[in-house]
Amino acid sequence: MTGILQEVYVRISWVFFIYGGLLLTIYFLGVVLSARAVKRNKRRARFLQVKDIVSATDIPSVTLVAAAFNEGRTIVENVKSLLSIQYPFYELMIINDGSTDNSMRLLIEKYKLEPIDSTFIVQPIPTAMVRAVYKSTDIKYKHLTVIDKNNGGKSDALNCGINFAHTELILCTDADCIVEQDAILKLVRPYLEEGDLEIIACGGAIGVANDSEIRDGILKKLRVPKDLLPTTQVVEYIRAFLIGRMGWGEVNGLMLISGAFGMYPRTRLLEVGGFNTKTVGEDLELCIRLRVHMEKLKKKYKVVNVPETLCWTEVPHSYEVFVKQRDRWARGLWETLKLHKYLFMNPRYGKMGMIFFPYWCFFEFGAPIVEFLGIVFLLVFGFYGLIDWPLAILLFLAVYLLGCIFSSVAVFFYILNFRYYSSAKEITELLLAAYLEPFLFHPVLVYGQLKGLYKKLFRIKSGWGNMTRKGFSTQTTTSP
Amino acid sequence: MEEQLLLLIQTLVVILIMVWFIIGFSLVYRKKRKKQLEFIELTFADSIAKFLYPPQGEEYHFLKVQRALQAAGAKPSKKANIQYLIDLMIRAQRTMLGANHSKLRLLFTQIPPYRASLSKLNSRKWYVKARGIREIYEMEQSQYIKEITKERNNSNIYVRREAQIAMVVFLGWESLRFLPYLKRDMTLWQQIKIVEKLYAYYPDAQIKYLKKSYATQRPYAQELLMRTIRKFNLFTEVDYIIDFLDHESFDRRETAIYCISSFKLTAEQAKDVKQRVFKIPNTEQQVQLLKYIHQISDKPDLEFYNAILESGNDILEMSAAEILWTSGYEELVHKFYYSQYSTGPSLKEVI
Amino acid sequence: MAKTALIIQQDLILLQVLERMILARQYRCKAIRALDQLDIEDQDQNFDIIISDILFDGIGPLDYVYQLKEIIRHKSLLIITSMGQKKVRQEILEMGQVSGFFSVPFNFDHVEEMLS
Repeated sequence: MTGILQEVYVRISWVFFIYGGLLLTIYFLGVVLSARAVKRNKRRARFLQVKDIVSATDIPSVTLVAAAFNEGRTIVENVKSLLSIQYPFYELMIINDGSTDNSMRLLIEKYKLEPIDSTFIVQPIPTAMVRAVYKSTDIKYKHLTVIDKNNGGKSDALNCGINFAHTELILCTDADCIVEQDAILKLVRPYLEEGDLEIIACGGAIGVANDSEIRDGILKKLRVPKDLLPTTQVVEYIRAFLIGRMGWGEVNGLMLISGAFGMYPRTRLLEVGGFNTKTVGEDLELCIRLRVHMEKLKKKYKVVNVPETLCWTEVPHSYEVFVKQRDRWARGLWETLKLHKYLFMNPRYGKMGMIFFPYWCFFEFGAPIVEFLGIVFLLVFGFYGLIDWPLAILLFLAVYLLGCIFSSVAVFFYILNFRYYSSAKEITELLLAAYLEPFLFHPVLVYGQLKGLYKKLFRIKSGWGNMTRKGFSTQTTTSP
Repeated sequence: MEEQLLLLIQTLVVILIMVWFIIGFSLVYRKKRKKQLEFIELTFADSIAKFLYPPQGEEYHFLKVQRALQAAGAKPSKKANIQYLIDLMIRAQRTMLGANHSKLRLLFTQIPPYRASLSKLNSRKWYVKARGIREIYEMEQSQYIKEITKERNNSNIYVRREAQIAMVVFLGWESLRFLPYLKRDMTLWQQIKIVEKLYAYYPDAQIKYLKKSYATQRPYAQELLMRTIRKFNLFTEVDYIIDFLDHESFDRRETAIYCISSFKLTAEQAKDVKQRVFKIPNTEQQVQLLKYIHQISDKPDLEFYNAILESGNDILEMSAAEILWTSGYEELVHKFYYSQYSTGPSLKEVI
Repeated sequence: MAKTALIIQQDLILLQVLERMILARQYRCKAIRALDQLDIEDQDQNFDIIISDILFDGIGPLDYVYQLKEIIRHKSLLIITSMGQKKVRQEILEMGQVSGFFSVPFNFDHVEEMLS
């Protein structure tokens, strides 16, 4: 009996070891690729500066579509901030997704909105019913359109915006995000620069703005959050956007552009029918569908991530909200992978079928499951006294240190290339949060992910979940 | 095994400490560097402002500018500072036209760095070479055109892009003799930049060069020519754009629809465009063209819109109906939709 | 009494050159790079001329011009900006009470002509 158990123990250990080794190799490759990508991006940016783009005449027009649901507390200020984005051919479209609060009334009053004749609404993508389309009577808000529609969820609202927009590019975001003033100028750069490949999606890094100074809807002073949970998420976001996405972008393997901030060509969005309203992972699903569409058309394409932080958001500040968020993300991932399971190891879809999609299945989807099984493994075989604890602790220490190095390198890349966090105190806080992450943050993250997967496995119905936010502490000044 | 793990842990600790040191060093260096660059920028701005508009009764000699910049740290021994100074010079020169532009041009030939950009042309690093070419054309050093022209088909996109822009700056409309026949494709930004430079430096169109280029079959060149026609508002050349409205390539059609939108058309041209709407294989582009036709027409061409209403494409029909509705032809729209309902027996019942 | 001018430009080189140009014409001049450098006293002044960009953080170009006209008293307003496309220019001029619009690069002599 002990012999068989010993044999099983050794074999399972090897499976975990190989899985961990593969993951570490991918991370290492990610660091190397992202270092190359960020460096090249910096060099290229010298030849196409924001100042060049802002004065150019033939650049593509952009509509920023922001979905709003019960954002009455901040909607007026957020719209003002979104209207101030610097781009010469810019339209702003706010979609009021059936809010039950006073959002619509506030918008009508503040921006002097009047309904326009909308007898004929051409909706290439079907959405929930549009009640009215508003334009401002005030010349200074002439770029603003507000669409009041029945509630249909975020994806439905964005689809409505895609229908009504008439620009070449669509930038999708949330009404409560703080978008950098020059965000569009930086985001169109890949569309202008790419030659053979068509850019089908482009996203920028998203930053954490909890406890930062916000004035007039603009991030005036970025601060490291006061609490450990959001601070750890700062490091997590830096790692994800700067190392992960830049690395995957370098091999054209990006499968996800964040729903909070992504730009797409309108024509392609219409061709694929916009966002999928039946999944909570609509951003990942759209990106995969766009890629599949291009593969079917046999057209060369690219999905790009811009390393600069162009959009700031408030991340969950309590463990309860954090678990809800990760639960939703895990469900979104499950739904999307299931929808596109035909891609798995399918050579017809090239690298996407053979490498990128399987990576998502094994490592993005599989990681929490493997971690959970790892704990079960430790408990079971620990109980039978088969685990060599001193060796296990040393192995854990080595893996922990590797994790610390990866996080430190990510923070280093960030401060080397961007000027967001510049004081020694801020960097120390970020590094400390990164080093505490495996003990305080990661177990909760895995719990949230497993909870989401459990819900899907046992078909427990769940929607977006109530994402209560602390809200930015904003100040308003008299302009100018 | 334990020993090997311990060794690995020790190595990782050393690497982690090294990363900390690098982060610390980088923080200190950046703070210092930022201050120095700000000081150089301030000195430069102040010096050239005084040079262009000297205090009353004084003459601000170029040597004063030179001394001030050297005192601020822009010395030949500090290459990075010199590079920053060159960037500032380009920035300043690109802000101004007329007499101030000429004065600055003269000033920049009198103060160092001399010939810094030419040496970059021989570099093996693409970003240095491309930068050198850019500096040469921004500072209008036309004597190096020969060296630059050689790079117009360089395998690196940035080197060839800068070389092509330089050709436009120095050769003007004559550069259209080469540009449509390059070996490699042009990006959208390349096209935009070329057209803008042409417009900035040579605002009087020389249509003969344009006409000679029409023979090109290169996709990027066709788009470049369409953009040129649009930028210079060359009404006589609109037919070239119209020919691409129903082109088989999506991108070519996209550019043509974009470029034609700034023109008003003759009755004959409008008729031609209307016929092409039906040949476009993409609904969204058809709708765009429909909107354009509506925009340039004094009153709707009912025959055309009727044909659209019968096209069998829902989106197109709705768009045509919307145009007719907003133009005061509500009855026609009603009639069309009633006729639709009457064809379906189930719908008829509903009605 | 000397005429007064207010220059608001983010670009330091442009700001300094414009300031020298204005000073050379015997104006009293306040030159600032950002809106938060404006103080209460500026709002009481009646500037003979304001020369300003339209690209500032937190406020759209059209809204900015509107606010500028409302809040700071002045006799004429010149816009000098790198975002000077035909469409932008048209929109700004449509708002009225803007004496001139220059897109960078521009000829300083033309600005001087407008001053005189």
